Amino acid sequence: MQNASFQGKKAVTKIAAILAAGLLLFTAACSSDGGQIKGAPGGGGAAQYTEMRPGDPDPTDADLAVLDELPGSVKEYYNGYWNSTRIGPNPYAEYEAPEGPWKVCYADSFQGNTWRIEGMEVAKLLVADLAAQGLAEPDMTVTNANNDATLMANQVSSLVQQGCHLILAMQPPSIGVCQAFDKALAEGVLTVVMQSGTECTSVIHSDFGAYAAAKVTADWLVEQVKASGSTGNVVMCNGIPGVATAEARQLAARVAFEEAGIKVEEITGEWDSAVIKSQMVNYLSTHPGEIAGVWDGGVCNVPVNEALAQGGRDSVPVTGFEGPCNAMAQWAATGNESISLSAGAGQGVVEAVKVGMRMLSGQKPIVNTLLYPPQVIDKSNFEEFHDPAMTLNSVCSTQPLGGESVPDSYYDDLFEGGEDAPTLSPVLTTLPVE
Amino acid sequence: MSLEAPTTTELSVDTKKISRSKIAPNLVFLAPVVMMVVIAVQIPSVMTVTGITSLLILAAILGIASVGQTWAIVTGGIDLSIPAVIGLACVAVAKLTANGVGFGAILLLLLVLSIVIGLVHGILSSVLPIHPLIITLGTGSIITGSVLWAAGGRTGGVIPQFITDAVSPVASTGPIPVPAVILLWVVVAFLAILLQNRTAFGLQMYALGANPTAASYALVKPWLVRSVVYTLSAAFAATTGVLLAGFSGTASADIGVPYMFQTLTAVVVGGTSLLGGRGGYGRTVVGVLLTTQFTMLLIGFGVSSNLQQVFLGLVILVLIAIYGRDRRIANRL
Repeated sequence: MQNASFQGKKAVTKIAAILAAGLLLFTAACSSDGGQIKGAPGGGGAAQYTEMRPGDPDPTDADLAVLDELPGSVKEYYNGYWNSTRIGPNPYAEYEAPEGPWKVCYADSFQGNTWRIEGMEVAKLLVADLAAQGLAEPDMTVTNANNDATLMANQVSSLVQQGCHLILAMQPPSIGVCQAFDKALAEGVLTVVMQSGTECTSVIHSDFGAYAAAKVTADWLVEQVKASGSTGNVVMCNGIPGVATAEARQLAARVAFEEAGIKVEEITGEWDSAVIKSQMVNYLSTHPGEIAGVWDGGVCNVPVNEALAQGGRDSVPVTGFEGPCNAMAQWAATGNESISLSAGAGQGVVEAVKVGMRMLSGQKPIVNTLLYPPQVIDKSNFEEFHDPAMTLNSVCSTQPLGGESVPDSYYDDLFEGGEDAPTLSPVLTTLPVE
Repeated sequence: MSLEAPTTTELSVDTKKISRSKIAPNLVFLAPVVMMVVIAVQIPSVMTVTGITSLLILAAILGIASVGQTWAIVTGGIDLSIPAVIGLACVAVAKLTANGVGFGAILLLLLVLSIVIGLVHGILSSVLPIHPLIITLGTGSIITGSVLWAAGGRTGGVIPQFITDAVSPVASTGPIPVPAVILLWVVVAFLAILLQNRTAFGLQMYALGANPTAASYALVKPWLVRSVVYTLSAAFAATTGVLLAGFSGTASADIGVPYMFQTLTAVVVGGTSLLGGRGGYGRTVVGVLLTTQFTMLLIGFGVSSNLQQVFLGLVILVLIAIYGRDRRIANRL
């Protein structure tokens, strides 16, 4: 009996120790304070940054104040920004750009799909171009964290130790790598986070405005539904629940449909074609009513159209989102008008490198987050993005020839001082067709 | 100790107890019928040819993926490499078809890979004092990494049209107006139940899962039984990968990720003991049908995906509690 009691106490002690250790780890993971770290040249720290609140339709006074202060030329692309990113002062306000040739490094959180590989390959081409101009070392160090935040943090720290001047970080987790970025900032290493917002306050973010972009496709669908006179529902095909950019897109669409008085049903496709199709098949089986259209929160266009056809339903307007090549092939094959956005990883890297080059040339961004509009693909410019070699099995993303989402002059109002940044040669000279 | 013969009343009570103990665990086989009635009443629109065919297609894909998981669990193990093998087959069929390799050659390659994977799992889990959970998790990681390395991260390709047709609700199989995947599942289920219930190998699986030490005294070779089980598991996972390529219209190395949870759910909901030695594929068929029907019901009611997970978790807990009331199963849970 005494032995049992002793073992019980021992077990309780063990559990308490594990809980305490867990609490410590959690506290450590959440304790990133960005520009407040000792020696970091950042501004006033995290307190001056707006909060990231995915799925929140109502801006705070602080959110609105930031919007008010942004240049008029970019303001509309920052609509709803608090859903997917934080905005605050430039953490590199006291940053002194190093002399070239610069060592450019690429920290990827994952490299398991074509979108990611396209991004990395464009980065290599850009570095080769800069090297040819004598501005960068020819070899770009690449790391792959395989969706492991701890590993990515270690890899970023390693890149800092290897002497990287510019780290291009592709879609890091929103927290978990911030302390490594803090250290990079403290060491005077410039980090540009691409294609996602994070909680980190020691990096520059380069991304398209998810909320503003989603509003474009949702508004198009509203017009289509109104023009058709349909009284059916719009089905929203959502991404991964809880992911900031997915929530931002969905909120923009929901608001647009609510304002138009259109009833909405939602399925969760998790950005996975097989899941999207099974969800849509189930939806169609259980909802015999009229569907007015389907809004795509990412990857949904082709599986949704297939499910509609195989379920014996009439074709309805289905939006696209990131301009997947298979959706372009389907659009061409069926002639059913759609809308999409050109948001390939390659052009995302181009925008991030443009930002990095400006900062390495001594220019200072006025905020930490630089949002731009993705190019809209509609019937007027469809042929610019479509290649007949694209098929329903293609996995590439459409990207504009040249690779720019916006002209370099777009950033003029977002930067101050410094010298002219080097000009980048066009690297995306052919349309992707894989 | 009483040497008196039981009275007629005592015999009658015992017979009732035995009948009850035999009937109760088998009530689960009625559950899909009851669930279908619920669906028919609540969401009558499902009761169309397309609606039922759609449901059976989703069930068939999960059902084929769950054969190996069931047997791995019956033998006292678990197969966490199923998602990786699904991804491997999905990418392989797309890439190799794009490179002009015939479908027969692709199937042969997948069969050889399944045998290699099965042998590695079977031998390592028998020779090393390591649970198959760790081994299959490790090999799963190796498989996915190797696929991405071999494909250079570019997983796209060409998916043969006949695979897409095989999983389409409006397709037929020759003169039979049923998609091929449903017929395939029927055949697989029949053979699987026959193998586990009517062959010496089936008995060896249960013996190994119930008591590995006693099984070895009965001349059961654990490495051989496990190797065959994990080879079949890999082969069925590969079949699922090929079918998913057709279903989704695209190839991805992580397309099998949801099947880790889904195959385990189907096995548990069916009532196969996670500790091995009890249950079987017949029960998993029930688990597959129930989870597929339940998901359809929740979508029909407009329940969000987050809540779908909550309800599915609750169902698992309730069923575990019900199974726990059956002493024979409770002893193994």
